[in-house]
Amino acid sequence: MKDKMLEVNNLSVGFFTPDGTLTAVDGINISVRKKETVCLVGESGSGKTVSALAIMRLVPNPGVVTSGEIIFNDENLLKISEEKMRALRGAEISMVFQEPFNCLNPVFRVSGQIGESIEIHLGLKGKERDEKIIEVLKLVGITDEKRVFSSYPHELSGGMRQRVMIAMGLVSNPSLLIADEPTTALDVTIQAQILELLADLKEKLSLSILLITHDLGIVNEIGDRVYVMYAGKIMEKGSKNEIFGSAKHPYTEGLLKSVPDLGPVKKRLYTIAGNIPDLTDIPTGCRFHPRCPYVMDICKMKDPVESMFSKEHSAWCFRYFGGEQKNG
Amino acid sequence: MAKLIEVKNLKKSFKSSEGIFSKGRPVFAVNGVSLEIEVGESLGLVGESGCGKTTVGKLILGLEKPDSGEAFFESKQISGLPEKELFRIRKEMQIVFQDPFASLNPRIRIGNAIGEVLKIYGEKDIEKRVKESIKTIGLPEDTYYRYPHEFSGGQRQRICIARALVGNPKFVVCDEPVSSLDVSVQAQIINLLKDLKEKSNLTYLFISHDLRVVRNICDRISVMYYGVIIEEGENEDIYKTPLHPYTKLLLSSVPSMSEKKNKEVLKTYKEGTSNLNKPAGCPFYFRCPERIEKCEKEIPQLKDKGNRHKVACWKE
Repeated sequence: MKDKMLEVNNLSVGFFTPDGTLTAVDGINISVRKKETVCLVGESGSGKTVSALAIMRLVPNPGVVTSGEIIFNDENLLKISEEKMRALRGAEISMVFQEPFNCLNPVFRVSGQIGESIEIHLGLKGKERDEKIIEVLKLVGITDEKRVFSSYPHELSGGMRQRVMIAMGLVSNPSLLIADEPTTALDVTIQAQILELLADLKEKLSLSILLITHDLGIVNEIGDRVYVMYAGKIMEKGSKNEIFGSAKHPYTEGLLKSVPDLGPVKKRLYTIAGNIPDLTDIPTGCRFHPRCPYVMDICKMKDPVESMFSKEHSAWCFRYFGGEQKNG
Repeated sequence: MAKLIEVKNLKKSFKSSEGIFSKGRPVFAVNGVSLEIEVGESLGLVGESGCGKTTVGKLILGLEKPDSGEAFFESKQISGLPEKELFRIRKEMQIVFQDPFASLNPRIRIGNAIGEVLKIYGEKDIEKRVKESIKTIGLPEDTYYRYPHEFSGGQRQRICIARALVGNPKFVVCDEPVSSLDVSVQAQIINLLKDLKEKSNLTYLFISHDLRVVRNICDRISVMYYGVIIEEGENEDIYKTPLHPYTKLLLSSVPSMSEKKNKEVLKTYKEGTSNLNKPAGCPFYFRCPERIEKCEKEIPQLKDKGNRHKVACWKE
C-alpha cells in the first residue's frame, strides 16, 4: 500500500542469556500508515517494548534481532549503517519513554536539552535555536514557556516533564513517533491531558504514532488500529471498532472482559485463568492454550495460522480455522 | 450498623525537604480528615499521588502518629494507647501493600512468612492454620515450603493477602493492592478480595488511584485532594452524580471503554502546581473551572447533601 509509513515483517528478537535463549519477539508483522495511531497492547513480557526498541535499533545487550525486516520509507532499517540510523533516530523517528523522571538530565536546563537536539538535527545556533525551543514548547501546550525554558527538570511536574520529552522528540518534525507507555507514570488527570496532546499533534503535524500500552482504555481513547500481543506473538489485529466490538481471539476477549471499568458494577470480574508464561518456558503450539477456555487438541501442537475476518481484522486462533467457528 | 473505624479531624505533617527557603517548613500530608467505616463495609479512598491517602491508612493503623486528631477502632482511641494495648489491637488490623516483591522477605519460606503473625501472638496450630489460609487464596499446598522468588507477582500478592488474613483480623487496609499487577491477574485478585470479604465479613479501607478498580470493589468512596476529603458518598452516587469539580475531572480523565467522556470539559481545567503553594481557601482553587471569589479565601467544609453524599465545595 502506498500510504504505508512503517512495515515490520517477520521480526524476531532473541536474548542470549547464560540460562538459555529467550525469544522476546517471535516473528511479528506490524504496519503503520501515514497519520495513523497504531496501538500495541499487551501485558508485561509480551514483547511490546522490545518490538519498539527493535524498530529504533536500540535493543539492549544481550538482545539481538534474529530475523525480519523493518521497512521505513522504502528502506530496511536493519540493513543501513549505524551512522545513517543515528541520523534517522530523533529526526525521522522519535521515541518517548515511560519515565519522564529518568529521561531528562537533572543537571541541565530544559533549554540546554532541547537545544542540543535542535543543534544536532537542525544545525540552528544562538537566537534561532532559542526561538525554536520556545516554538516546540508552545507546540506541546506549555503556556508558561519562558519559565520552562530556563527550568531544571526537578522544577517541573511529571506532566510537564513528559511534555518536554515530547517537545524534544518533535524538534525535527519526525514522521513517526513511538510512544512507550507515555502516561503510565502519570496521574490520571495528567494522563488525560497528555493523550489529548498526542491526538492534537497527530492532526497538526500529520504524525504517525505507534503507541505501546497495557491499558485498553487508552487504546479506546486514541487508537485507530490495534495489535494485541501475548508472549512475543501477535494474537489479533484489527481496527479499534473491530477489536472492541467483535474480538475474535480468546485472549483479546478475556482481556476486554477482565478490565474493571467505570460502567455498571459487575458482581465478579471475568478472569483469565493462570499466569503469563515465562519466556524461557513458552508453551508449545498456541502460547495461550494453557489459559484458553476453548482449547482443542490441535492448539497444543501447532502454531495457529491467520484467520481473516476483514481487510484489517485477523486473529491467530484455530477456532476459526477453515473459516468456520468451532465449538470448544 | 456498628462503626468499626472512626477518624476525627486527623492531621499529619512532614517537614519539607525541597527548596532552600521552604526547607523544614511543615507540609500537611493529611489536613483534617474525618471518616467512618462500618463493620463489613468497604470504603474506597481515592486520589492522585501525594494527596495523602496512604498516610491516612498508616495513621489509622497506628503506624504513623498524627499531629492532632483521633482515630478510633471499635470505639477505642488508637493514638493514645499504650504499646501493649496497641499490640493486641494490631492483630485485628492488617495491611496489604502495593508491591508484592518488596513486601516478602526473599530468605523466609512462605509458610514461615505467613505464620509469623500467629507466632508473635503465641497461637496454636500454626502450621495447620497457615496451610488452610494458603488453600483459601487458591495456591497449591506445597507453597508452604517454597520461597518468594518461585512465585509470580499475582501469586505473591495472594501470599501477602493470606499473611494479612491468617490471624482473622476484622479490618484490612489494602494500599493499592493491584496497581503493580497485569490486567489479567488484577481481575483475579479483585475477585479474591471480594470473596474473602464476604466470607469473613471483613471491613476494608481500599486505597487506590484507579477509579475503575474502586468502582468494582467498594461500597462507599471518599475522594481526597491535597490532604482533605473533598467528596464522599455511595459508590453509585459518586460515579453517577459527582458533585465536586475535582471528582468530575477525575472521572472524565479515566480512559474508559464504556463511558463516552466529554473532552471539552477536560480542557477547562488547569494543570496542577506544587504542594507548597496552596491557596488559603479551597485547595482545588487554581485548577477549578467553576471557582467563585469565596473559594480563594475560605476553606469549604464537607456538607451532607442527603443519602450520606457529602461534598466540600462552595458552589454546592
